[in-house]
Amino acid sequence: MKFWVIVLFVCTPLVGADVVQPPVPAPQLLIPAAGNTAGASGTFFRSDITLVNFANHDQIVRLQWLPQGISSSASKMITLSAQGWIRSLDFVGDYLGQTGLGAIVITGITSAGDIDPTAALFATTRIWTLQPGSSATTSQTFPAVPVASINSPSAALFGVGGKGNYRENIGIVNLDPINAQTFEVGNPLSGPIPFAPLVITVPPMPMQQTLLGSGDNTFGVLELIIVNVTDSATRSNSWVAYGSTVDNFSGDAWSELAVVGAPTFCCAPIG
Amino acid sequence: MKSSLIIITIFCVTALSAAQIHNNSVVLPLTAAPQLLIPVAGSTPGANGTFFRSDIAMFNFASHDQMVKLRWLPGSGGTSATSTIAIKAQSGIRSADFVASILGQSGLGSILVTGVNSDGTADVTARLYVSSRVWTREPGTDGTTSQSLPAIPTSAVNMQAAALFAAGGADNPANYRVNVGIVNLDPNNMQTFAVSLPTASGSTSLFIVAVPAMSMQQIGLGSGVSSTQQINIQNVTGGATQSNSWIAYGSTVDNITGDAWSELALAGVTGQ
Repeated sequence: MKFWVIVLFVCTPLVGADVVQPPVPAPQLLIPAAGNTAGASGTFFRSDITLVNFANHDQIVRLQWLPQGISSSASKMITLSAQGWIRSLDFVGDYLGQTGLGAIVITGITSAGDIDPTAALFATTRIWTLQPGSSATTSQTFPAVPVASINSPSAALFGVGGKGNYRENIGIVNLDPINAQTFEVGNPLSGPIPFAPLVITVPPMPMQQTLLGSGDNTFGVLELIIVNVTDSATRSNSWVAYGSTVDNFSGDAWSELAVVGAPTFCCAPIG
Repeated sequence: MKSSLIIITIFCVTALSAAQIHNNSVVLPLTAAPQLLIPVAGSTPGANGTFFRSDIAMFNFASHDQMVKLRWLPGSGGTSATSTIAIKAQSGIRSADFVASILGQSGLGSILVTGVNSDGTADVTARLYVSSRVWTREPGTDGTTSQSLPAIPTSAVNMQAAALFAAGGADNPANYRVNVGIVNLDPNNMQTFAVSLPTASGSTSLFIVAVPAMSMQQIGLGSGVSSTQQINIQNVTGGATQSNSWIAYGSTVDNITGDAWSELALAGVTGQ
């Protein structure tokens, strides 16, 4: 494996600054949602997380747990060997020693505890549970977000819900270290789908997941706009939002990161 | 012997094509672009009564109406096809069976989504956004199973080698099957790839995959792939026809529930 990573370092062309995907390693990453928590109907959700060190030096990594709804300074340090990687089926329990739902900030640091700009970290993550009554699983994946890319004055979700029986959640992670942020989540369309704007306040450095609704075809064709309405003196762009849709019958689930800079659509989208 | 030659070729080709190293990029997770690739989509029957379809939402972020060319890049044995649709300014479409309903196609493939002008040329002012997942009814239930894979701005596609890290099921690898898909965006030349699964003992399982120009190919690696197995994908096309216009993805599927997840192969890293 080390040979392979060295080859990647030396020989692989890189994407430009305006590139959004495919993924690239970064010194600091945010996993927007992770957990070790019981769900409904006998489910228990855990996070299957892979963390890769692409640097050619051993890397100290700080794992900061941002629990749902409350500010926290809980963190753990681990060391990844040069070009080494780990994978855990229950990362939140095994590596962070935490329970519940939250987000994780992953930071490559120096021995002095400062951010290591040479760190090259990559993560994949999914939240999974055994499907009640079977030995198999259901899961949903979340992309890790390079923290340096987070700059969200407003954002929108487009792929939430669907034609079926689903429940929809929205999650917001506030990375401002000092100030709570308040968000309005709304549907800009005056259409037949009932959805009153939500106001969600997220304390500094936690995440907050909120149920939007549940039932048949609830939000299948909606654009959902998330606007930071915090007072301008303390308003921050250091936040991300995601949508999570879960099939009420099978537990099938999918997620999307909110899109920054999306327009407010003028007219009803086509179903 | 053949495997050894291929591995040597991998090394040589990679070493010869050393590329520019940039400063660490700031990347935005998702945004709009003039041209996007949906790596995998379909309208095709699967095993055990499943039928896979693509739930695709496509939006025009631009303040002008947009003509959009949809090019179907077929999987093995399929035929390429192109459709053009119009999406109103700052509006969108969504279909639970996009491949059949919008493209009139079946089978497994990729979709190249391009904003175009009225004369058919690429519209650099296009701002398109796509979300996509492949889903099926779960046999015997009223629910679904699905996996989502992000659309990729084609301007970001520039690969020589790539790797997958999160394939396989960690709880019980035998319960999961692993697929690797490769999309070749070179307009003229077939590309040949070595998909390898090296082990600590030095042995390597090797799959050679030839992907025709402007098409995709998905191969099965079988069940039981270790959850800590790194999967390497290397373009081993020889000579002047080798192209960096390709991407790869991994897909892991629970053999019992159909639970599935995908990851884009990691192309490289940023130097300092």
